[in-house]
Amino acid sequence: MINKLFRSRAIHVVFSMLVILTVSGCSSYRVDFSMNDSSFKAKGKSIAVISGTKEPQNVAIAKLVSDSLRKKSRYQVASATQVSQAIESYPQTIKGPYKSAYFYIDTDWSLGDRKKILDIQHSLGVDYLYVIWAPIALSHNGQKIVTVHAIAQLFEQPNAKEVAKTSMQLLDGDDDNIYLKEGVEEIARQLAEETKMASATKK
Amino acid sequence: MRKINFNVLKRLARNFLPVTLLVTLTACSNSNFPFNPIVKNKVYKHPSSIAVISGGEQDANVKLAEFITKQLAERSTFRVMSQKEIEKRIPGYPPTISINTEVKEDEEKPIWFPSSEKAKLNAIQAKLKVDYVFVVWNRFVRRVTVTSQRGGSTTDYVYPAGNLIEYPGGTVLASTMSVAGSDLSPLALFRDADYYIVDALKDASEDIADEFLKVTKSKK
Repeated sequence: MINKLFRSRAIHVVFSMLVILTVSGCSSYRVDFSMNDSSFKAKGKSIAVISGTKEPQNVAIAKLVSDSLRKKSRYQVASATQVSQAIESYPQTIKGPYKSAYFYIDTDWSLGDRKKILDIQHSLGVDYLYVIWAPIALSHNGQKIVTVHAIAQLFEQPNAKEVAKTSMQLLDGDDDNIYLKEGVEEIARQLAEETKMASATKK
Repeated sequence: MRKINFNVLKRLARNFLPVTLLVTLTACSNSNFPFNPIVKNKVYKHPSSIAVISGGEQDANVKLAEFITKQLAERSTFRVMSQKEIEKRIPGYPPTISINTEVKEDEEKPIWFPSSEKAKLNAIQAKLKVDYVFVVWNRFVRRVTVTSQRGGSTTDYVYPAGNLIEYPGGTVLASTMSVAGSDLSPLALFRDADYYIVDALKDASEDIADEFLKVTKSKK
């Protein structure tokens, strides 16, 4: 009888779900960075990475990407002090390229407050501005570790033209912040490599 | 000793185990206190003014504040400040007011903001010059899918929280800890991604307004 129970469909369903959960738990991030033009060549070296919302988690991600990009690329990355001096009341809310953000980000890359982005880019005086929006942090079964859904756009001077975009999912909330660090390292790596600005010596 | 009927167990497992597992995985919370007075027998000033403030800038917080504002403006005798007017008076609105995540799910009258956030709320009130500030958050959203051999259903849930504060003095008079859901239909394929969450937020706002009117005796 017990053998029959273990052969039952319910047990198969439960077992399959456990396998899916285990497999899906293997990767701590997903980062899809895509250039609008594959023949892109950077027209300058200065860049700033900023948060598109006031959420502390979003601000922390922007800061970590900024720090990592400084190590991995030939960009001259604006420091947190430079950013907060140039942008009045940083962080501030910048309308992002999405219609809504609840379970996932309903992206529409044509949306967003381009005027504000242009103003910020002028204030910072940088060739490139990478804005990250992280409006969703989903917890699973009340666990401490959350999945952060985020998107980003890379804008080029002088008219804040969008030259690249990124969709990403990162994990955050583990004790040593290892998952988030892995995720932001990957964002910085892809940003540096895809824009052909990766540093040969710095890793 | 009573004999265990394995056939029954097997049937139960086959039909209900997937359901149980999914519900457990999503760890549902069912506390529903849309507007619970903390100060008993409070007599509310009439006429008086109120502003509903979003405690954060995430979509669900902002929408919740919008919907409650609409409900109270239509149904209560309070002078309800519009979200547009609030935006005009508070640069960078919505603010980021931290929410206390340590509140237990069975707590009926929580004060959601840590005392360190009180100064922010006082500053907001000073700019709005209203008698009452109702600060609201949506704690989280949750999508629950229940499946069985007889079919399945998916529901989007929202979990609003809030506190009503009276000025001058800054006394917290009431608390919100609620839940509302909206079932996805086959039409979901043709609807906006946020349709059901927005629907749940509207339902939650209506529930909050219903209780608010009763507690404050402010029905039009």
